[in-house]
Amino acid sequence: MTDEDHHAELSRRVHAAIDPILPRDGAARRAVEGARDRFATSGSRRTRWWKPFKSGIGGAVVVLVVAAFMGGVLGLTLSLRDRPGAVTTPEGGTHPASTPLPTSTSQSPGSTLPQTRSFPLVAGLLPIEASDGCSQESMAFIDGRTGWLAHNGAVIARTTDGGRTWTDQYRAAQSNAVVQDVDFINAQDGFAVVSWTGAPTAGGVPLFQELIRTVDGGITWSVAAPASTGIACVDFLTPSIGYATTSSGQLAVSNDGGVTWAHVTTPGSVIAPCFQSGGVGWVATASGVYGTSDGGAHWTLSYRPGFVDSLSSADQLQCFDHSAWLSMFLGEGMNQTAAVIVRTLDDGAHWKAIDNQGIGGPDPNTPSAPDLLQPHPGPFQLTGPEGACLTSSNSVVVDVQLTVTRDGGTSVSQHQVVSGSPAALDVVPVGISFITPTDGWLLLSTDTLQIQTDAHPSQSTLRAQLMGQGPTHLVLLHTSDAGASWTWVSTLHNAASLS
Amino acid sequence: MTSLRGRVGAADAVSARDADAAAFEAELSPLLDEAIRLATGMLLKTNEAEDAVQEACVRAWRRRANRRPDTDLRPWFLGIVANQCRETMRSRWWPVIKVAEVTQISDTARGDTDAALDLRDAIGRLPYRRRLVIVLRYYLDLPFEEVATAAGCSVDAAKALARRATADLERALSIPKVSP
Repeated sequence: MTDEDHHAELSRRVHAAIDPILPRDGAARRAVEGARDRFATSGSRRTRWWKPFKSGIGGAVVVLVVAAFMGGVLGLTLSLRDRPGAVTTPEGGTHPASTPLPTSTSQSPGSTLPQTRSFPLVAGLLPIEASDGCSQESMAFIDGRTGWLAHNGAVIARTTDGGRTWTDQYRAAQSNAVVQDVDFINAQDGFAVVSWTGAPTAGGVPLFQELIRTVDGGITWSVAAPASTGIACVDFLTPSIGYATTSSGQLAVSNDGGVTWAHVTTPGSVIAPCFQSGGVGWVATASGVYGTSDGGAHWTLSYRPGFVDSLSSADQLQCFDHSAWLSMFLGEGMNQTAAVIVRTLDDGAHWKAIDNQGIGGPDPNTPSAPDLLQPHPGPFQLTGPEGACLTSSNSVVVDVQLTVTRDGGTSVSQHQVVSGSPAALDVVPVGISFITPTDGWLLLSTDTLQIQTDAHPSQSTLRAQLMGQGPTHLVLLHTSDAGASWTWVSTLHNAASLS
Repeated sequence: MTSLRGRVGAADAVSARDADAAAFEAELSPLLDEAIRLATGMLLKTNEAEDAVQEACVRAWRRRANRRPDTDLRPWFLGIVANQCRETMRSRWWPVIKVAEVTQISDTARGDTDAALDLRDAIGRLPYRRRLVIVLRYYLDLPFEEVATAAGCSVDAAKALARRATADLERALSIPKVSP
């Protein structure tokens, strides 16, 4: 047999082996159509962070850890698959029609969504980058100039000059409405949740929450999901695909920009979710943190803390590539918040406590961890597969701190953002938005603070001055060196004017 | 404040990007069937292959500025598909692998033979780079020059990988020896 014959023979055999599993007709068309929508989002904040962190060594470590994880969880997985209701068999990558959520106005905790079966999402439709989950963030920048924030209750404003000037774009009709969870996918497509309360009834004060969306950069907004759906928090990965939690703790997914939603079966009532590429996602429930890699068709228990009821106070769950970070607020003291932050870098094989601080000392039931943060942890944001920026504040002395890590918390840089003279001030970080690991904005809320803007350029920390009690301000700061130094950008007064 | 001029400029930028995307899509379209075949050979899972190609399209779009003018689009794009397949293989979770294997049983109705199943199983056990070279060389029938570009190695290294991979397959299946 000649070399050509050998080649032809092996080629024939390889074709015979692989051809039967080739995707059916139209796969190429479906692939490029799915990719087309995402061409437009290239360059957004969700598309760039991970690249500088992709190293060969890191990849090798991940492979080894994942391999160990796979072996380690085999027994657990098999046992989970045997549990009734824990596993359903996916039927390939097809999408069943979404099911609209119920249209009743009931917001009672016991209300349930129709029990449609869970299904896997087509992985390629989803971006691979970080997701901030349902973070309730009030600020979102998508590049160095363009961003949105919610202020003055029910107003959404946009900036196109890095935060120096803002233009109000949306104002809720309800007088007591609050805009939260502002989430922009690109310069055009954005979502937000508007909440308001109705007139008190015998059963309590009804809470209404509706999802609004824009497709033109915030110039016009429309209701995507009315209050009757009970959508409480959303996390959109593309202009059409997004996840949401309802006021009764159920997880739902939409494939049409939030118009219709389908229930996703979860192991319990969802406290915090986070989804990213390929249907990979996490939910924090009262019984533990569960992971899925198929859009919620199957869930695997990944983390269960040793202390009781801590997960019921889960605050933020964010995910990026193979990592997930979870913060839990365990209690509130006069000058301190009891909080624990844990993270995994290897798809849930191992979890580590990054911060463990309690009222009167660390929580003894939590794995030991340094007390990295100030007494009141604030919002955080993942900036890479192992990177994170975490805010915290101290209400005894005016002090806002940014803690930055690029290696999953093994080493950290602590940066004092604002300092001031001891006083009973209340300065709280309420928003964080980094578009690269070094370039980001921090939004502070204060009722007594004025940021001194004529500080010497060599001073990296802004100086706070007590100006007496006054209306609440939102103070926007910017850093371009990962928090080492900060500049004041603008102050948003309660009367919705900016200076 | 957002000026009208700024809005017009932004609209122009969006239009230019749309046109750029359409041109890029037209350039990529002829390669998608090969990309699907490569991803299927690498992942041996229909759904994952389709998803990997879709993700690779997006990555290629983002990295289009990095491609040198003298580099052929086909091996460059297939290299991106291969990398995406590697990431997919890395990110597989055991539960999904188990379930996916069950769902693939239905594929046997499409004409598989025992020999084909054995060879597919043997290909699935090859390390990533050896599997890549086998698929590129014997499934996509690419010349070694393009195999090397897509695999990110020299032509000699690609040939050496092919020799080792075919030897692995020989041991597994008693396939007649092949000289790459």
